[in-house]
Amino acid sequence: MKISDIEIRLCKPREPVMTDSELRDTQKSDLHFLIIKLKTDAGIDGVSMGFAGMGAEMAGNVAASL
Amino acid sequence: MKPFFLGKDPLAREQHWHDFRRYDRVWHHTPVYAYGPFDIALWDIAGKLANMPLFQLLGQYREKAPTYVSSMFLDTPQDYADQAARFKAQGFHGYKLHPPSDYHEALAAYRLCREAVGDDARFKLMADPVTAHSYYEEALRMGRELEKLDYYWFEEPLYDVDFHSLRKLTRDLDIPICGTEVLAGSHYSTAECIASGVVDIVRSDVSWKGGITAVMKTAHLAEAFGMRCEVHTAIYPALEIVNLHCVCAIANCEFFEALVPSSLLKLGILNPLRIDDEGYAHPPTGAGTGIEWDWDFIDDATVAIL
Repeated sequence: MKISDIEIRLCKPREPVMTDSELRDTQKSDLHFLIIKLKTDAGIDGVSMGFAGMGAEMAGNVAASL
Repeated sequence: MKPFFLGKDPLAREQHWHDFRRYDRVWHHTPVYAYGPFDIALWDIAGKLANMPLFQLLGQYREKAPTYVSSMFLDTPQDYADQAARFKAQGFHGYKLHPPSDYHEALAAYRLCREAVGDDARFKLMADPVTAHSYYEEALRMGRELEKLDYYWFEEPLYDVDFHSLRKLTRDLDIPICGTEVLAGSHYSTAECIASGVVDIVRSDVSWKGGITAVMKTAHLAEAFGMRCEVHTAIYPALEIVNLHCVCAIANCEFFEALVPSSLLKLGILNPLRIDDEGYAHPPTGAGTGIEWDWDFIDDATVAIL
C-alpha cells in the first residue's frame, strides 16, 4: 500500500471558538486548525485534525511544503 | 511534510518516525506540532485496515477513562470554586485550575476550590499555573501551600526547560511535580528529565509531541521508571479523542484531561466526546480514530486546500 495523495486544508472557523475572557494575558479569540487527509492506493484514507494555533497559513505551509 | 510522506507505505510508521527525524534535522526544523497529525492519520489507516478502534489496536488497558476537568483562565477566584463544585456534582474525578497569574489571586483560587469540593479522596484537585512563577523560591512557597491543601500535583510551575530549578523543586516538595508538555524532543528529552529527576510525572500528547507513536513511546519509557505519563489536553476535540484512545491503552496514565469550554467539544466533528454520569470518557468504537467528521463545518471553515 502506498500514500497516493495528501490533502491539507487550512481552516478558520467563521465564529471564534474561544472567548477573550477564557484566555489569560492575551486577546486571543481565534483558533485555526488543519485537516490532513492521507489517501492510499488501496482506497483507505487516514484523516486527522492538526494544531494551527492562530496561524493556519503558517501551519498549513509547513505541512504542505517540507 | 507532504513531500516526505507521498509514495510511502502508510503502515511503516516506525520507519517514517526515524527517517523523519534525520530529514527534519537537515535544515527543516519543523514546529513541534507538524508531525503529529500525519502520524495520527497513519494510525487511522492502520485501524481501518484492521477494523479496530485505535485503543484496541494499541493494546487496550481499559475501555473508559476517569476524567478530570481542566479550567480555562477565569475572572475571579470564586469562579474557579463554583466551576469545581459544579463539575464535582456532575461526577467528574477531579478539577485542575489554570489560575490567575498573580500569586495571591492564585492562592485564593486554590483555597476556595478546596473549600468548595471538601476533602474527598475520589475528587482530586490539581494546580497548573502554566509557568506563572518566575523563580524557584516563589514556586516552592506555592508548592508548600498546595501541600497543605492536599492538591494532587503541581504542574508546570516553571518553564519546562528550567531544569535546574525544577529539579530542586521536585527534590524539595512532597507534592508531585508534573511537566515536560511543551518540551521539544518527545521521549528523547523526556528521558533525561526522568533520569535526572526534573519531574515526578511526565506529560505527552498526540498534537505537540509527534502523534500516537510519540505518546506511546513516552508512556512506556515512564512506565519502565515506575512513573506516570499523564496525557495533556490537545485542545482540539478531534485530537482529544485520539488522546483518549491513547489513555485507554496506557496503564501508567491515571486520567483523561477534558478542557473547558465545552463549546470546543464539537469543533469539526459530529460525535463529540462521550463522558458518562460517573465521569468516565468513552472512546469511539468505530475503526481507526472513530471520528465522524463534520464535513459541512469543515468545508465552511476551509480557506485553502494545499
